[in-house]
Amino acid sequence: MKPASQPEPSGTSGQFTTTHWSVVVAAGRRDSPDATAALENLCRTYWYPLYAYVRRRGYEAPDAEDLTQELFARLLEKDFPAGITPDGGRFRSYLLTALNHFLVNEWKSRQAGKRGGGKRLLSWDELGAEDRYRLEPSEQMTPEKLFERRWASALLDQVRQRLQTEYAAQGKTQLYERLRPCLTGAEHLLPYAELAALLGLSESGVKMAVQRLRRRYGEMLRLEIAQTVSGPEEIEEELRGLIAAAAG
Amino acid sequence: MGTQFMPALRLCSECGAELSVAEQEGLCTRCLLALGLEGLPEIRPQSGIKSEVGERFGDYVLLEEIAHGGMGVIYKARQISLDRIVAVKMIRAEWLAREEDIKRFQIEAQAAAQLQHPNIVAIHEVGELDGHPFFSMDYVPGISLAQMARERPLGTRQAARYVQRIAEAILYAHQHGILHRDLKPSNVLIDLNDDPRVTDFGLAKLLKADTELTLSGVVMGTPSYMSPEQAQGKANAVTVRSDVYSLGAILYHLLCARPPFQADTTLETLRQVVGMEPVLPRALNPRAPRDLETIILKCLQKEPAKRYASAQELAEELGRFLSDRPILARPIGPTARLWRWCRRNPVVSSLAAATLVLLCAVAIISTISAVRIASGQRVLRENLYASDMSVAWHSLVEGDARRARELLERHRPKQGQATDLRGFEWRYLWRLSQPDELFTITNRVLVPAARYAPDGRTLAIASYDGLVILRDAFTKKELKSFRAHPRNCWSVTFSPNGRVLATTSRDDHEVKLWDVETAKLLVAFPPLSQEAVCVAFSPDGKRLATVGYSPYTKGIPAEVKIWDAASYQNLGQLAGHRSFVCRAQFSPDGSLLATGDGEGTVRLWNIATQKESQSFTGHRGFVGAVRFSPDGKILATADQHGTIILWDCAARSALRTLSAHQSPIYDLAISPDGKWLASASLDHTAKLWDLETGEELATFRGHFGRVWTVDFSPDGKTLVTASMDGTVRFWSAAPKRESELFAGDWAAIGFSPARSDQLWDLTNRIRILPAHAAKVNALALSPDGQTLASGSDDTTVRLWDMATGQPADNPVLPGNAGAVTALAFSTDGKTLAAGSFDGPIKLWCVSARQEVGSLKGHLSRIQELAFSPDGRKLASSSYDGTVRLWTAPSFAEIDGESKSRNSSSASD
Repeated sequence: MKPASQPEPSGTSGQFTTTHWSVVVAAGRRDSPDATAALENLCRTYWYPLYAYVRRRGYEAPDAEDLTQELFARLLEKDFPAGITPDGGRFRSYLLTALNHFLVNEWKSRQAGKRGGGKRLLSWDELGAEDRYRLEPSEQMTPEKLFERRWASALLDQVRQRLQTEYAAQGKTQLYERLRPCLTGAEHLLPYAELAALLGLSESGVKMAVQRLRRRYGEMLRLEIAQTVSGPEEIEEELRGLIAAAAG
Repeated sequence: MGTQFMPALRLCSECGAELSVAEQEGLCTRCLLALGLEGLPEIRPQSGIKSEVGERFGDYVLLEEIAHGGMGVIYKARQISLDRIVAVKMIRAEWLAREEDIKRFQIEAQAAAQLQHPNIVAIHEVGELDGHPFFSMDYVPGISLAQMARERPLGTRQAARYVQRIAEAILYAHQHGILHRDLKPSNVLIDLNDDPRVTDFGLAKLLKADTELTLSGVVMGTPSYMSPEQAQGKANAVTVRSDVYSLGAILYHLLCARPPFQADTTLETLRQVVGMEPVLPRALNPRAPRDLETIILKCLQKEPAKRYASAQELAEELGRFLSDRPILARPIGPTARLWRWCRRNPVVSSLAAATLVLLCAVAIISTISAVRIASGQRVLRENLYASDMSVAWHSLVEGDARRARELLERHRPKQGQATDLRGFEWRYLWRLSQPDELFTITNRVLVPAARYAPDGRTLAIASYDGLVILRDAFTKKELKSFRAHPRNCWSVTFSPNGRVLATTSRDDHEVKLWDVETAKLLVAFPPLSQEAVCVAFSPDGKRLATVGYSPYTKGIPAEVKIWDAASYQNLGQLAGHRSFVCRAQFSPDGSLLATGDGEGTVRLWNIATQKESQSFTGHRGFVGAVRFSPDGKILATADQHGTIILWDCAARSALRTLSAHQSPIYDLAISPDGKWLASASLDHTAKLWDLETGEELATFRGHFGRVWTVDFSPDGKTLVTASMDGTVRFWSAAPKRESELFAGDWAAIGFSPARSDQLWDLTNRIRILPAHAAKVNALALSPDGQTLASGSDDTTVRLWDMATGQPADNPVLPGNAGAVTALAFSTDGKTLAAGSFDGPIKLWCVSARQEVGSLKGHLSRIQELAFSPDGRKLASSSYDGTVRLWTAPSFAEIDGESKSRNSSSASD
């Protein structure tokens, strides 16, 4: 017999198995183009928290760009900084540990000689990293705190994009755009009656759609986190950790 | 910095938290993440599961689904080869699709399978079939502890015995290197021999999400039994002491019929677990022995190091309790509890004494009722009542009057309910929870601004859905409303003659002028390049200034433009700002315009030349509000740190700096007579100040969201505030002193005699005693209920006649020197003892008002005093860390005599 399977979220199916970070980084599945793409995607999602961290540590923008780029390039090449081999724990912790190690042990010496031309993942001109960093609050926030918070932002941004894509794939872009403000409450939202008229739904239909959106968001969020932690049991733990970081 | 201000487009509508620029879409990171957590309790589709009942699964025939949750499902099953009934748990494939996960699951299940203990549900087989991992375990007929304690508290010995056995089982597991990490009543089954059996063992880590299953099959996932370190996601900090915490939480639940912490949402519960003290078990169940309470509280310590070091220590301690031997843990005195609570809540610590008093009152009430009420249902209601009263009080102290009202509302008798549990404490709290305001208008969306018309008869309200609503300022009736902007309307400003209303929108950047009479659009100015947040009219009505706001990028100068109010021609833009600006105001003579910027500089601009004429520096953060006094002599400005500075415009210097609020101030208003200043803040309050002396006159509480604007009625008698809580509130613009209200009232409440007739009698005669010149620290009631003693920071001990509520004859006891911290009457009521901050303990003969003893020995503040029942001993505890016992065999002889003596015949 087969236990019942939860309906797979479209657009994200199977991510937990084949695109989990430790799988694609360490588990020898790198030969698969899918896995490489998945790693690149992870890097694209989470580069900014690292960049902000390095900047907050006091490095100049060009150094921060190089450092972030270099770290990701080496992950792709399985050239892990000084034996910091991925252990299947949290991607977030791993990246930070690897980066710190990198900063302490290898960066200076590598700066002296010229770096080899690893694969360039990120196009800094397009990313506008420094523009974004300039918007960071100038108040006291430790590099670690900033990293955690931006990690949370990057994660949510990714979830939002996926959700948007999913709704678009179902031809529900308008619905998504209208309901998006309700994700954390109804204050920015048009009244249900107005929404119902705009969307051609009943009021209870709008309510249901709102519920569905919120639920889906939660599901996608957990799926997204699942890719960066070692197992499903850690999803909640990671969520709590990020919430604590966002609150503190 | 600037992003902290004006966050209507930059704040979370769920929790009101400030959003940083990086936070997407105006949604709060924390609340978005919480969607992931709160998503957990969703009911998952069940299709396909039930149909498997009756099917064969390897060596098993599935008989009946016992429970299912997010990740797993448990069946009652028959194991064919051994012909026995077992329980089979399967993990849903989608959660374990990775090979490592499956392997790990199996390893952990096998580890748990090694645990052979009479109080642990044994695992028989761990396996995998068709790619689906499963394990089989003992089938335990019976019910779980959760079901058992759902209706009412268990007997104390029964509860202690269960938890002792569970602790022994947990100890055994710890010795095998396995932490349970998910201990809770629903994970303990009571078998047919009335023995507890711990289940889900060693799988807790993996199966964490697969939490409490109720009969309806809904996954609760409550973190009510989780240690603070787990609640905070500190995986590395989870140790055996975390399981000890959960054991204490289980014992709490068994004795109180509810977990130590529970709230409507997961997040709120987590917040409580991390930051709040549990309600004392004995407040919920007066029959709970003090020793068990002590044991529970030791388990529930926030800091792991303060808990029992192991499950063994806990099991032994419970063993001592069960065999009537003294336990080792020392009770945490109410004073110490309070002290710790104060340290965690410094803001409200000044009210902490009152809190303690209330807790006493609640305990008294529930004692009485426990005697009176027999039925289990009523006991439950009673416990809930006591608990809710306590929480309501805490809510009030924290400024959340709405929550307090909700809690109080629950206890209004419903139709058909014969008993009314409400006593004086309910009525008292109800009165305190009533908002200060005179009237509230509830809008359906948040209200960025509310302003009086110059004639005071009309009120204009900016609504966040883009509407402007005009209301009669007296009847509050809506006169008209019109759509001013497509999405949001941020500000409303009347022209000096009241005929024109200016509106702005941060959404479309537009500034519009409207005819108030007809609600017709007069003009829409060309949209600003920045968010339109403010309009200021010159006093003669000929000019107006518009303010564009863009704090999101540093260094973009504010867009402040001057316009001709008749021709609508642009007269220029003020150049020279180096940062964003939130508000502007013309001086009363119309010659100057004041602006405050993001870097804390206040500038005055000459309108004729459009040049900066002077600037004031002194604020340390962005300036959110500027306001001239009616005579133009004083300029009041306020910043993001809640600081108000009053500037002397002529002398160009600061007159006074007020630390007004803890949070940014958005708006200031000055009464038409120039006497009073009002401030509106992000801290949900508005305050009233004496403009001349800087004295705080009143705090207006009642909003449960940020207060955006505050405005005086033209007659100066009323204040109106607009808030993100979606309300507009009216307040009496008069000084009020609330601190006095507190001290007196609580005295009467907390220390009324513990006899029910008198207790209820007090309902209608709560008095405010004009007690002391300084804070009252201690109260004691004579055993006959006739005399109340109060001790204060003013170093006096006073006596009060309870019958009249007036000072007793010769009310002040002589000879005391230090600030009084503790008081106690002897059991015969003849002697009163007083402890102080640093002096000796004083003893008086009450009837003669004569000092009869001075006990020296403590090195520090006295915490508590207590006479032994026979009146021959006095115990004192002190912050010097000692408890001293004083014997005074001659107390009985001290009766009306006027000899003083030292009776310090005591030692530790």
